[in-house]
Amino acid sequence: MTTLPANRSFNQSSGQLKQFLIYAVLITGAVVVAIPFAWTLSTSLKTPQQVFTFPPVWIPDPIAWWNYPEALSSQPFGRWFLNSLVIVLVSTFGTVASCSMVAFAFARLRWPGRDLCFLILLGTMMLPDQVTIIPTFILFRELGWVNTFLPLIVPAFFARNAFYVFLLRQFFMTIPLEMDDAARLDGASHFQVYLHIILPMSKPALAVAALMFAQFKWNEFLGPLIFLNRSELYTVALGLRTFVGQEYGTDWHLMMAANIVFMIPLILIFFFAQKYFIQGVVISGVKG
Amino acid sequence: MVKHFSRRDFLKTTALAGAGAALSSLPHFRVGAQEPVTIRLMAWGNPTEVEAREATIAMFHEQHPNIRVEFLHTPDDYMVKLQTMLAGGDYPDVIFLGNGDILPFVTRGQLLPLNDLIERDGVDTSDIFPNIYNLYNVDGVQYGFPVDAPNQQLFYNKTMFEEAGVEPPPSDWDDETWTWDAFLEKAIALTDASKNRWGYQVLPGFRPWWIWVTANGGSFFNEDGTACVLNEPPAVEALQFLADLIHVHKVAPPLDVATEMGGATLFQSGITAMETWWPAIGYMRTNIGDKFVWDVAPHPAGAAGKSTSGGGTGHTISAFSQHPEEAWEFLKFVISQPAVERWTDIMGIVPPLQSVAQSEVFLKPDLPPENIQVFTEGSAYLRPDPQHPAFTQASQIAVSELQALWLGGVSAQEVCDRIVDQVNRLL
Repeated sequence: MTTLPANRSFNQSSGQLKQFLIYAVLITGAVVVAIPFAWTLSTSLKTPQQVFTFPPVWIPDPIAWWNYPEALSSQPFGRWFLNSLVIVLVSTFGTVASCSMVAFAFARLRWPGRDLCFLILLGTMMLPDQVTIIPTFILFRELGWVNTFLPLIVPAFFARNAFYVFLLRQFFMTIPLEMDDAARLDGASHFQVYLHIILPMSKPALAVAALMFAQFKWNEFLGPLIFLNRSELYTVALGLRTFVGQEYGTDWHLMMAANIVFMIPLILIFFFAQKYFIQGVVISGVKG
Repeated sequence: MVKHFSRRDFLKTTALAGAGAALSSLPHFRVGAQEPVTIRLMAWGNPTEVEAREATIAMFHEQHPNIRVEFLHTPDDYMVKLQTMLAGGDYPDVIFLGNGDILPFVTRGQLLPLNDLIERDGVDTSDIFPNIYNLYNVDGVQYGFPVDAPNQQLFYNKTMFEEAGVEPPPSDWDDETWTWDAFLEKAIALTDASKNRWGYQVLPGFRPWWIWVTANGGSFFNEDGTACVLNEPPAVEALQFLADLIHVHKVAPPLDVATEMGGATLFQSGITAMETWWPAIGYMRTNIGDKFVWDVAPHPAGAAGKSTSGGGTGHTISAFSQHPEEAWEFLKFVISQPAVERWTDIMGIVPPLQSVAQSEVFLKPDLPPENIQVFTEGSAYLRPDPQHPAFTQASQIAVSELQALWLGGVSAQEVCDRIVDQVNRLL
């Protein structure tokens, strides 16, 4: 700031006003966004009679902390948690590995029909799950994979999610092609370029893809619903719905207690990987 | 390609054919120690329903050591999963179905007719509430047995009635003073919008307004099912009456409040004094507790008398089941008295057997509602969902179009004309 002192004080106060407004807007936004979470937390600590009272009670009395052990022991959540963990970890690895390979071919190699193939790939993103679910079901039934984790894991190893191919391709395109040329001069094969040049330079993008996919997979409902029949095989996302009754009512207090518990892994991941999530917005948007 | 048919091939073929013949005739010799057969039962359910189901399955296993029941529990989105499995050629043996889905499934040939089996085994079905039993009957062919006999009634908050000095609604089905005018009078006396207290809640779902339409003599389809007749005076009057409760008399909360909270939540919170709801009695007992005293009464009589909607859910057998005999054993068991008693005891619902409905297993005299017999007596007044293959879609159209009426600004006649237009295009 190179203005006169009088101006400076004016600027200062207008700056403070601006700051104040920004904080006011952000705090209002934060409160609005936090209300559902607060309600979830509060409901998880209520007795069934307290769940729907008017006016709403935010701090329950008594605090029914026993909802937590009750909710968690009412269903085999430990088992479901392990199931979710296995599915998420293995399929996330598969997605990142396969999508990055495909993206490499689209971004770094020249071959006939490449752009057409890429368009078709993007086109698959437009197909809603509901359209493909029956043929997919028939396919996996013929393979004898229904009631196993395979339909939820194996497709991830075949770059099933076009979005991540797109995301990684966009990032790979920003790396100068000279890198590849230099490596090739040293005798590197396509795969070596991919493994030793492109992947190490793309760690942020890979992290973004992994995080986004893991989050999606943790919450996925339709796939586990269709392919898993035995409750020992359920995932957490599926299991949480067992509190929902069709006609006979929903046990909101227990459902919310279980929801809170199984929100924790995602919150932790987000907490530690915030940086990458925000970078993800940048990568898929303006960078390049 | 020409394939030579050698002597070895010939022997192989004959041997295979012989083995096949032996295998196919095997069932006739299966008498004593046999491999247990596994049948798969497809159903949904919240933890209470799962508990009831596991308890009854355990009873069945004790009686039938040679049949294992594998329970395919679907936590949510039941129809999505069921339709995907059926379309994909994966057929569960026993399918749990709402009575409204019976006709569409029968039309597609997906359910096994039970008449011959009922006759062969001399199953006595006279204890089942007749009009509930008939919900699983299409053109004289029985396709399933009910697991419950629910009908929607008027739940009311007795404490609110006392506080407002209003006489509670009569629980006697023959009481002729209980009319729409009497209902409106009470609703007005109970409402105090400044304290967020309302006489009634208009629920947007199909069954809550279907009661009012049928009580006034209205129908959804004409008799041969070729046209929708929801725009005829009886139905229009009933729907206008409900809309007026919100907009003219202001005795029911606006729809935004009501729908956001979901069925029965306003009632459970002590905000609405009367509400039409499903007889999830056990659930109501737990969730209301001692917040207030509540009871049930029939809906008021319209031009065509009293009415109730509902129908419930039942067990059917897949037409493609590999083990129809074992599935049939299970169906017979689920409708037997011990199984129904166990189910009713855990669930707190209206049982399908009249004998159980008269017993303490259901009546539980120490617990609310005091006039629980309204549910069992109401069975005679049941006007089930319209039976029509296109009903699922048609009712969705009606429910979504009626939103405009509940939100206000249009007349029931206009909305019903629109519904009829759209539904007739389906038929």
